[in-house]
Amino acid sequence: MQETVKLKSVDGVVYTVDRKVLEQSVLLKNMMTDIGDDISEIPIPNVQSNVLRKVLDYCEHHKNDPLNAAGEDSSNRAKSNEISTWDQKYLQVDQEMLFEIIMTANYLDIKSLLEVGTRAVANLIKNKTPEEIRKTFNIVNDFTPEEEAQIRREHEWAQDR
Amino acid sequence: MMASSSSSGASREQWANQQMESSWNYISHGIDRILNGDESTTKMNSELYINLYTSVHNFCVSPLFQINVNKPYGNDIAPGAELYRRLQSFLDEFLKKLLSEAPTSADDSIVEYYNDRWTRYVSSAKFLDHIFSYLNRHWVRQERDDNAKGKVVCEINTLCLLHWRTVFFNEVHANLLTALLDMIRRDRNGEVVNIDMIKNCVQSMHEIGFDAHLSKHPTLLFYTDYFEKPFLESTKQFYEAEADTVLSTYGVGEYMHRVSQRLKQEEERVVSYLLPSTLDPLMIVLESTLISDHQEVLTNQFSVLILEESQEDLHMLYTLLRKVRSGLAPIQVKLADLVQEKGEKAVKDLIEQNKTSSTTSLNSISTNNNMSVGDKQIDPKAYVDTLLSVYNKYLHIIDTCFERSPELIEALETGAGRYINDNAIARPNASSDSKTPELLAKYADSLLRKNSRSGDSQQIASSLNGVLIVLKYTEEKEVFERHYTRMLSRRLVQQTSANADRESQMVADLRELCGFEYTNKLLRMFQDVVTSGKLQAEFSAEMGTPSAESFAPLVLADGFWPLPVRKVDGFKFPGELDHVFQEFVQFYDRRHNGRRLKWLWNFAKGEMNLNMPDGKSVQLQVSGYQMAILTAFNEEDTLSLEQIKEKVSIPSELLEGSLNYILKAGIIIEAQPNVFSFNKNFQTKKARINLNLPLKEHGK
Repeated sequence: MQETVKLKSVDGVVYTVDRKVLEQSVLLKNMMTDIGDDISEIPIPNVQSNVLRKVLDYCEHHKNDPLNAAGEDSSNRAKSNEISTWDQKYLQVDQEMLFEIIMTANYLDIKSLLEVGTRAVANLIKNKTPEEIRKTFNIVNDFTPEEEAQIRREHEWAQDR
Repeated sequence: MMASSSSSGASREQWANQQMESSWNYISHGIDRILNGDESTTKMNSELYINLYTSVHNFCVSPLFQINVNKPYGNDIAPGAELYRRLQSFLDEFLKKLLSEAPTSADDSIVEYYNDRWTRYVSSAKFLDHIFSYLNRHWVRQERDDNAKGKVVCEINTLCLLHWRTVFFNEVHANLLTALLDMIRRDRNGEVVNIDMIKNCVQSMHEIGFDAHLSKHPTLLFYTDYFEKPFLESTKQFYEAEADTVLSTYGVGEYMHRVSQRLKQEEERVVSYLLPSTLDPLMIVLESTLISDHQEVLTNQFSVLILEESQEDLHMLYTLLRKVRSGLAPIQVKLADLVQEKGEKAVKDLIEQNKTSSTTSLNSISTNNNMSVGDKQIDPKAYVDTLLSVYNKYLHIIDTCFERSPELIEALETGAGRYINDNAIARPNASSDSKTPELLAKYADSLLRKNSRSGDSQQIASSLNGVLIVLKYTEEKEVFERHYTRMLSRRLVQQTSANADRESQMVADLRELCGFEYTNKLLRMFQDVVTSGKLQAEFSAEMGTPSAESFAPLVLADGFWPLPVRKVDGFKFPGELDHVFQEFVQFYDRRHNGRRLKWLWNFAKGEMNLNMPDGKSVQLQVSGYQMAILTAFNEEDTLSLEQIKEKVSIPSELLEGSLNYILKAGIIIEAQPNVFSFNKNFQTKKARINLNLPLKEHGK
């Protein structure tokens, strides 16, 4: 069995990666099990090379983490909002890249990266007014003032007083 | 993969439809390849794998399909629902085709076909589950979390197995089951069948046993209904027939062997190709069909085997019968009766043996120690040994053949209790009380007394243990206690007990067997002896250096000792010793003012030296009365009976009895009628003469 596998991004860039690193992705782990040992190159049709490189960096760093059983929600880690120092630094990217990372993590089924990415987005929202959130994510306010008033009434319980 | 949007709504929808069909077209080809896959021709490669996964992913997330899917599932507009529905139809088509190609006969061909297709289908289902894992993770999970709609959605692997069950399995089940049960029948008959195939088919029925909620892990209910129940029924029929054949052809001896062999085989069968959960119900069916239904025959075989004492067969029979409810009960009754019968027989044999043996053999036994049956005397030891031999024999059989079964021990105890309390010696006629307790106590006494001929210390301990075993089953323990206490007091007072440790061990054992109350009196007696010994020591110390005339009274509490008191008023203590006696009385009075001493002279005994004129000396062991008589001759060489009586002051019959032994020994001679003289010519080779022999009871 080969120790490394070549990953080919949609734009044709090939990365050679340890099998162990790839096992962070449930998709790739299953595939390697299902097809067998003679996989040498796997095309990744949905992911650009810069994003793939970034995601592989994450997998490389976390390759020795204990894996959560596929399909199970990691209970404790998901509830806390803490992000490790390395992950914080890792996620200091522009918004577009952050979303690409999240989508790729979802596609490749890398649960911990999906969690940490979505938590980073949650932290962007935290403690912001709707106006600030719109500004952050570049969203146009398409509510009429009446609609907005009604929503405020209906969600009064959620107001932070 | 994303399409550029079109300005026209209708053409956008058309475009989206085209895209969806083309996407599904790609996916369905992949599914087809997976389901019909034959490893040699179409091996899955990483590119196809990831492309299929990506197509499923893109199908689910494509914004183009979000608005498009609205027809087949009504409100379920999610693309996931559409994909799920299309997969279901595809599976149905595939399985219908499988069904149409399946053999329609209920023989090995259907088993082979099912086995082959199932093996491939199961691995395809796992593969599909991975290819569709994006659908599982998102749309399926959401639907399952929100399953109020009444329609149950499940993960793709489960979906595949569920469709196998509804579309394919249900249709072939009847034939498949018949064929499987026939294979198992042939396996039981020793034919060679493909066990792996049976195992695989049986396993499949477990794997498709999903409950109504389609939980990921199947339950056993489906397997139980569709396989286990019919299997148990066919098992029952098979073994009913076999039991009849074997019993009528080969008889019960062979049948027993066959049953144990079959039980073992069926246990192995469960391990080799059924589910472990089938073991218990299968064993219940087998035990009921092979054992309970033929319990009478087997129970009767017990009577045969136990007389033959064929150990292996007895053990086999026991292991069979104990498996079924109340299987041992009839055996218990039979064993108890047999033990009783054998016990009674052994006692009768002992009587016969006793009658024919020469009477001289009884000489060694003192006449007082025997019970008579008819004209003959029964030796307590022989009696107790006989009782024990039957008990021990069956205890040994229970040990070796019945794994020390508590039920059979109980039966032995029942039988032993019957013959120990009631047999030809214990109760020569129906109305008399059982003699067992008394004979048992006598045997114990003979073991505990000095000069016991019962062998070495270990043998005595083991014999005493036998006494306890017999006592355990003796009903009238209080009768034993009465005799035992009487004999113990005799041993203590006469100082004839052989070993103090053995005595107290016996009391401890009796307490364990009969309770604290039972041995209270016995313990008190031992305590008295110890206290009295201390008192003696203190008295001796007070008296100073021991004089030639040592005096050792036993002071015992009144009421605890079953000692026959013979009231002898006015007995005169030998003059030479009288001062010691008086000093003790005073000594005791100082110690325990107010307590009254009652003197049991009939238990008094002593040793004295007979100094002959020629300088020789003989030691005499005498009773208190004899001592008084002999000391009277210290003063006079010749005394009339009247004179002696005056000096000693005891009733005539006691005097005569006591004197008699002295006369027999020749120390004193009757010079003239009722005139007695000291025999100056007395000669003996013995250094010691015992004159203290039991007095013949008068008027008895």
